[in-house]
Amino acid sequence: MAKEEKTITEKEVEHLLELSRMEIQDKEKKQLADELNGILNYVRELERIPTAGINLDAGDFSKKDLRTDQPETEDLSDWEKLIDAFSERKEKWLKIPPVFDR
Amino acid sequence: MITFHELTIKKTHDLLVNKEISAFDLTRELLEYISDKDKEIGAYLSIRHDEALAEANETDKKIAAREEIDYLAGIPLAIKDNMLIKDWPATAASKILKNYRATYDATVIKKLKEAGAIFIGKANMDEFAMGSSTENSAYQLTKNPLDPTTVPGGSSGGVAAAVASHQAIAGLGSDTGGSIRQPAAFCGLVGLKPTYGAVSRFGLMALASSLDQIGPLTKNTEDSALLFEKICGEDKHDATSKAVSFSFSDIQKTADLKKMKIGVIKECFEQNLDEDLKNSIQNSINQLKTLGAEVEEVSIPHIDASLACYYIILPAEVSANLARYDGLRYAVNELGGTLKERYFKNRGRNFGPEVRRRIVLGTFVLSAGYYDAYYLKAKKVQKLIKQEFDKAFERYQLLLSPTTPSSAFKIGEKVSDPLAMYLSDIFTVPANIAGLPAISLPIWGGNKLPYGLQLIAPALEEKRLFQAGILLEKIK
Repeated sequence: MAKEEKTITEKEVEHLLELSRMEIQDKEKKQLADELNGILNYVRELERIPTAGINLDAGDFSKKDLRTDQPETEDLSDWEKLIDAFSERKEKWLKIPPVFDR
Repeated sequence: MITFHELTIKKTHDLLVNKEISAFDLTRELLEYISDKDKEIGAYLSIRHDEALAEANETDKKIAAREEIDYLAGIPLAIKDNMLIKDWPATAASKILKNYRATYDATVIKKLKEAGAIFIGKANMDEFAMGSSTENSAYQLTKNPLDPTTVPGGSSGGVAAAVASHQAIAGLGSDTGGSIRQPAAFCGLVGLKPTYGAVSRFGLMALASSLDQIGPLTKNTEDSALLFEKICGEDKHDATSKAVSFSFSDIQKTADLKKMKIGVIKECFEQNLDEDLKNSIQNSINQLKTLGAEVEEVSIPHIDASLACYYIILPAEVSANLARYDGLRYAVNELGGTLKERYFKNRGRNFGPEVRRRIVLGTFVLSAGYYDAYYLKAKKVQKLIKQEFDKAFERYQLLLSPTTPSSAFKIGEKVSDPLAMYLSDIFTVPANIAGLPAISLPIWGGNKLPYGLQLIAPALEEKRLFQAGILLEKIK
């Protein structure tokens, strides 16, 4: 783990919100930063636990976990309902707003 | 008038088969009772009035035709609102899903439908199952039926409150870090978190896919086993599901627990525990000894680190799993602007504070430069804890701890302090981290509210939990 105690700043919270695609009010950002720092401070207790001998790649996987390579037919009769659950549709297509600024 | 508080799955089944009551009358009376009672409790987000009556009719037809019916046939169940019932709303108590209707049945629902169970309503929960008090619901507050000034626990608090206030015979919740067992403990119920993979997660809205499990909340252990028998097993729609075969008759019909070695997890008692809770756990230990079990202290040296692991692994998975809620796929509202602007507005405005907190935290622990320090470290400690459990199970058949550090806390007490809320799951999280089955059994001390006795078994040994639970209930 990071040697120095990492503290998340308000500016970093803004960047994380950008990455997570969420808009919140400015006044909420300071509180969110404080709460995140409280949680990170708690989870940092893991630093003291030696894990050098732990190999994450060993043991949890066996060949029988693999599915047989066989095609399966699914009932797809409800596709109309799935499209209806979308915000807008045009015939059998999903309609989305412009991806780029006009 | 039926006295609902006496009804278990088994008793209701007997009444139905002996034609002392019809499933239709039972359901109609229950719906009437709910229309009054739930104003006070707030357990349900939606009631399937006509659908439930129609489902009841099907069972009555079978009984009239002298067909053999399943134990679950005609049994009214409460279902947590993060599981899908075809053509019915499933909100996960989030505003972002307020207009969503499920397009298919979750595997557990499909299995229970085939058995003839009745889905009376969808129950309140913490938004997307993030919370320990059901106070994070975007829709309503649920009160603990045993003391309305306290929370029912969470995140499956609505199901627990529904069953504890007799507004359902039993119910299904989901448990990612204690969300079945903790509300069971707070409401005086039996709550089972099955082995990871024992029950299909298909049709359960994902919180942390590597930890989530569906399980029963019931009035006694027998009901828990009957429901588990019905919902467990492999499912081609969930690649992590296992070919489990559990039958109620697998539970050993012994009159005692001789040959059972139980380890009391030492570290759980080094926490600040209420004297009354300690005494009631000691009573249970004495009862287990009376039943012939050998009870000793055992150490799981890094069990205390489970919660820290959990609050890295869980948000990491949350940040990925909740990316699908973009406000378009499950239409929320029409807001103008570009695609990106809609994402920001829909997600920012329709997710509650706890959900936003965990998404941002997950984004942080997975980001370049911090991934090894947080996520990878947590996965390694998780493996270490699993190994410590394996070692303990070489000597013991069951492990024992309290389910929670306290009984139900007051409404509003922890809502503004996320870390304090997280700490209420400190004893339940390890079973999720290690993928093990665990049950919470209701126990009482001198105070008004109950506690939970938690028993943990090795993977796929649910039958041991049931055996111990059934025998302990007989003593009481």
